[in-house]
Amino acid sequence: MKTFSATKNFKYSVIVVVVLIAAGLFALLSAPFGLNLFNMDIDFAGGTTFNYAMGKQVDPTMITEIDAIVLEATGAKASSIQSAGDGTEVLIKTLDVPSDMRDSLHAKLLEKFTLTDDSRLDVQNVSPAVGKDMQTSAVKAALMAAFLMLIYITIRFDFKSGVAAVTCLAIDVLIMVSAYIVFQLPFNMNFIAAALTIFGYSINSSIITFDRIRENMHLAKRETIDSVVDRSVRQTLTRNINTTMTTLFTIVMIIILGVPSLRNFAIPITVGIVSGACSSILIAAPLWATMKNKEKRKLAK
Amino acid sequence: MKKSVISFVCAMLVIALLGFAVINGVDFGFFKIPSITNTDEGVRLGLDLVGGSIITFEGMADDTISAEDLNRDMNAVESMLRGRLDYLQLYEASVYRVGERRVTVEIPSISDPEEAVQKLGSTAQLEFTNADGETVILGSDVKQATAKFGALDNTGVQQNYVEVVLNEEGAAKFTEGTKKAASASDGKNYILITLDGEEISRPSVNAQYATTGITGDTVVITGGFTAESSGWLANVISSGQLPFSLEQVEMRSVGAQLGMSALSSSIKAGMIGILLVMIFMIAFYRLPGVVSAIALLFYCILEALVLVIFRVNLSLPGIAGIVLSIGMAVDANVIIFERIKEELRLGKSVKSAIDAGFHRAFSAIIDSNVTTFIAALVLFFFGKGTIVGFAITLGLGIILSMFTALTVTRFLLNSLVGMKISNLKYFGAGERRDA
Repeated sequence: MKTFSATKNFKYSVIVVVVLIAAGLFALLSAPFGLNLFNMDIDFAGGTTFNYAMGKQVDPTMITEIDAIVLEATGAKASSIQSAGDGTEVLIKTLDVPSDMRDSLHAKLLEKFTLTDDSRLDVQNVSPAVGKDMQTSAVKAALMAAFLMLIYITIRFDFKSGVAAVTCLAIDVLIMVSAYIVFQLPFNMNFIAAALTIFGYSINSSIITFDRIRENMHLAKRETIDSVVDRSVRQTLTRNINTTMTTLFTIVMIIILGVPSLRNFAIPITVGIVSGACSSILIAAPLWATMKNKEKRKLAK
Repeated sequence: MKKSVISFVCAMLVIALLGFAVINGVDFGFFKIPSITNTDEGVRLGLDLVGGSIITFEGMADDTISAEDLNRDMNAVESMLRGRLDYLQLYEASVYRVGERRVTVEIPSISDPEEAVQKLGSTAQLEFTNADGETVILGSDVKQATAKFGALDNTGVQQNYVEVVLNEEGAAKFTEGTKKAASASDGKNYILITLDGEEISRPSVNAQYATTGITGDTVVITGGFTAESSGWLANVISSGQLPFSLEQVEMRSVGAQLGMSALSSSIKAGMIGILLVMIFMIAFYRLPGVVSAIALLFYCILEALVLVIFRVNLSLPGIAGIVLSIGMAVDANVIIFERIKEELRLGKSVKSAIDAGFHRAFSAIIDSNVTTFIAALVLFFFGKGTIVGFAITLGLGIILSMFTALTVTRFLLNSLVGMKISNLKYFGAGERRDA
């Protein structure tokens, strides 16, 4: 069997990563310039969502009718109206509208489609001010977590492993952002929760790999760095794959069986977990080897 | 050998008993463990699971208001909201302050959230004005308001009305105001009664009062009331108006139907997830896999115990946190078992391979759990809304799973080895090869 070498294939890994993070990176960089590629949820942007069980398949005619009702009740067109769930639910997204307008929309929908109060599955309203607060606390949480994680990694690892591990975390989160863009997942507080979870979790694979590299470096004095790294990666491959697998078993079940709001939470976590395992093996370890080799050449000069 | 069998059986008994306790609930008299399904005394289900509304109001106070005054007024708002909820018989509802000028109301299983928003958020500013818009009396002039039912004139028609008793100052102002209204020209000889700027009624004042005004301290408000609406009006007038208007800034309302399906589907996902993890672990690691499956079961029981004893408020993301942590719980076992396999392949005895496996995997396990715990901690302090529930269950899961993975697995594995089950085949490390 031909054995896989993480260090020899490093450049291919980098190419794959660049492709995967491109969408997320572009979206993040263009956001400050007013180009919004995210499917902004009301959590951050403010607004109202209505979720109704229509009792029958939602079709384009129904959506046109709802559109007219929304305009009549709230004085503005809905930002979006789409079918949800098993296709008999409808999700209406509007601006931040006050209680009396929501009430009138509810009454009009009930009358038009002969629904009951129970047909209203959920209504969420967030004012732009609260949305701003949410954004602030989201940014605070992300910065705080990154800061604490960096401190911990710096204490536990040498500098080079720290840089390699944190690079991987950045890659994982950027790939998650790409998933948000590509699948147009609603961008909300769940993103922060998912990103922080991945921050904390996906570093595990890096830790396992580096732990082994450290151990093997002690034992093997004559081996090249690349060969030690490749061997360590191979030795820890099974456990990296298995720890990832067991976590995927449960989170993927939520994607399969869960309600839409949980699914939108589980998808980015799944992407992050897979990317976390791959990046630790294919990026973190060879990146560390590259840095270490550079240092060695410098010392040799 | 015998000792190992006894300790293994004892451990299994403890797990089984705890499992029984948390499924059925037990009462020792001095200490009670409610059943996991008992949502009255045990685990609390969040509003996103049982249905209900979470409404946040912001006090529209002047920016110039001092922090002290704002705090005092917001406390008043909080207690008035409590009073209104009690009046509406929403005894299960809770009210709490959020930040400086926001207050959140949580109401379980409510069918009409918009009505709640409007009723709770009304300033309840009662105002009597004349046709020129001049204020006659305000809600603050009212001593007491009562909802009544009966005939008000000789027609004998019975109706709902609100009887308002004015204080001394209010009565004087009312006499003065009605005197002026009575002498006004036709079409302007009325008193306009409004609540939060909306007209309730505009009774006209008979010209006979032009010189004396209407005396006495009792005023009757009519306006096509039902028993319910007159009761509500009397209640909000009596308890006084809010110090400033409230604006609803956030509302999340979930119907009971959606909550129930969310709960059952997540529990199903969790169950299947556990099963898959167990099958995988047993298939891959054989005997240690069985041990980790038992430890995982024990972990689930512990998690359930903590949930019911500490009455954790379980939100939908909270359940996601539990399900996720089940998958993470065996990670430590995977790391340890892989290490044990390696040690066995190096030719070590089963006993020393297990010891070495646990010993050498320890630092990696601690490191990986600490980083995830940091993430949960930050999310707990900086997160908003139901996502905090995710942080709680994730953090809890990490602590508990580290305990079960490190101690319970080790104990069980050692007692099994004590029973002389040490054929390498059982450890999934039959073939010796160099990695």
